[in-house]
Amino acid sequence: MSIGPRLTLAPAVALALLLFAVPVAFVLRESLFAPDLSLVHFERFLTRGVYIAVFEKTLAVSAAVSTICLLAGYPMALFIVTRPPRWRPLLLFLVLVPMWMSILVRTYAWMVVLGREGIVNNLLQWLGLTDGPATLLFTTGAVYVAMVQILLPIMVVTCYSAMTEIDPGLVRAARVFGAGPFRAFREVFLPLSLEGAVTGWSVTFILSMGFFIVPALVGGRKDMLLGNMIVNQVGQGNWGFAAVMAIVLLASTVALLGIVRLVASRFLYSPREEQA
Amino acid sequence: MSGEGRAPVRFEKVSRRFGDVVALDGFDLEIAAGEFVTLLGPSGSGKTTALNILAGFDRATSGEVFIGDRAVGGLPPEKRNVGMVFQSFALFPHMSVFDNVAFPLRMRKFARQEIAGRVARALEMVRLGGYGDRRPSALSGGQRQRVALARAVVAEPPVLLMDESLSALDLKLREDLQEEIRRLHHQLGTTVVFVTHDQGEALTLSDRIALMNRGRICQFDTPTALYDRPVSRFVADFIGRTNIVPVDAAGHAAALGISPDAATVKAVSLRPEKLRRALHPGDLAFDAIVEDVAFHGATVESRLRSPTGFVLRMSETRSGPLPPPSSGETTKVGFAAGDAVPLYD
Ligand SMILES: Nc1ncnc2c1ncn2[C@@H]1O[C@H](COP(=O)(O)OP(=O)(O)OP(=O)(O)O)[C@@H](O)[C@H]1O
Ligand SMILES: [Mg+2]
Repeated sequence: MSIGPRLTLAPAVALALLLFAVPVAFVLRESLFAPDLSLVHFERFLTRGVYIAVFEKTLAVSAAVSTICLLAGYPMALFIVTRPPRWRPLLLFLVLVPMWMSILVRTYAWMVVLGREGIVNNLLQWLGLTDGPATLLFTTGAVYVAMVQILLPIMVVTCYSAMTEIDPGLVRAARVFGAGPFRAFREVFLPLSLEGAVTGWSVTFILSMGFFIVPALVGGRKDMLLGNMIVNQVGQGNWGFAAVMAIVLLASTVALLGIVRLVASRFLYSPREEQA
Repeated sequence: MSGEGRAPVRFEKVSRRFGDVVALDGFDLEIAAGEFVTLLGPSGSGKTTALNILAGFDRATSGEVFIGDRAVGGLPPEKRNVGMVFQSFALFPHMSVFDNVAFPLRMRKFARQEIAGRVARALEMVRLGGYGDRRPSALSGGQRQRVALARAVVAEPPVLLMDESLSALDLKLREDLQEEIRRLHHQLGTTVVFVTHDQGEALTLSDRIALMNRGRICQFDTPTALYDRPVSRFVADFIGRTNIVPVDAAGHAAALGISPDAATVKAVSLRPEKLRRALHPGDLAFDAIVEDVAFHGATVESRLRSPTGFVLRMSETRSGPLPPPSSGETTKVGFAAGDAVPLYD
């Protein structure tokens, strides 16, 4: 890279520093001073089993939600990208429509859908599958359903844009050289789209790690995530301890994505790497 | 590698419509085993459509395609046993050069040992031995296309297809690869169906050229026949440069001394290099005004006006017997009667 692009990037970098690094620095300071420099907040986090449990749960739920999104979103993107070009914008539009609604509204919608008098319960009883209303709301399952519904469009779009980068001629080439449709997918399309799939998983993972509205509204008490703990602590004025959890959340997300990148770069083909 | 596996190819009344657009219109073509045939034609004449139907990427609206004596219209590409070189190379970017070339063999379930040997030989054949470990991105354009060539022939398919395979390369590389392709064709004896809109390429490479226009074949002939005996105005005009003298009431042809059967002959084609000022015995001749003279290195190109006002181009080699004409002079210009080629439409 010559000096030119670096200079033109300078304002963007400065803005990013201001909006990202400075707040993080404040949070870090908050976590370390109680009010004098000490690690008591960190100690509290690490020694109380309940916090570690919530932290582990947050990791597990985020990983699971991202994985479900990937398993559902990748085939959806594949379906769209293999339709004739004139249908694709419409299909993509249908996937994106839910994103126009705020997460809060969509979560309330799930409360309505999953409630005792909700559509699902009415349907179940009408079909005779349950006698009375089943408990659907305030369950772990409800958290998963709502999170996946909220994050799925992002996964589909990420996978889709990676797939449109793949030269359709490559799949044709695979076919001419003797690969059936499935084999051509496995040998050529899948490896070339995995990078996009990993990106999609990473993005949904990052977003999941910070979720708190959904678990608060449709989850039970045991479905609290780290985000909810932070909100609680802030509500009680425990800024120092909230800051510790924020730092843990940030650090663990960055660390995990770092590992994912590292593993991915080892095993996956990356178009960007080729341009170097 | 010999040519035992080569196969004839036949298009039988193949039509392909895209909505209102007729890309192929009753397309008939018979290619002999081992022949190098080029589909040549202007943009939109249906060359790619014909090749896609042959490769199995597209289906004919009606008609049938045969490879060998097998009708392949209903077969998917992987069942047709053809090799192909694409314009965009279409090398698998996530595989090494070796794996790219090995791909057709792996799909055909060759043994590992056999694959290694064949890939090495194919890479050697395109002079890329020792490049097996590289990624395609670490190769030049010409090298990539040679890898694509090796991949297309490694499984010794009876038919090899190439769609504008050299168009993405610059002139020098294109000429190198033309030579390479000719050599490969001699060595392997495979039937080759080559698509291009570059007539120079078609003339150098082909045993026969199918000149296409609007989804039909205008003339299917050897390069020399196509050049020397075009059957229509379109062919004469498309291949090389020529003077097309209409045979009509204006009397342009008659003024040059040409008098074909006006009932069937619509025009006459006179190549610029067939016109000469140093007349041979028996030449047809006319008085011409030299309007413009331009030097083109080895040749001198002049613009002539005939007694009826018809404009012709003449191309003379500079090693000819006479000094170049000068602008404005009047001179006798002649040509052999046989060089005036009658055109029937
Ligand atoms: N998928 C398609 N949908 C609609 N029309 C098409 C399609 N493919 C080709 N055509 C039309 O069919 C005709 C023939 O196209 P084709 O690509 O075979 O031409 P070509 O001879 O290969 O031209 P070029 O030299 O530009 O590659 C053109 O008029 C083209 O617009
Ligand atoms: Mg074409």
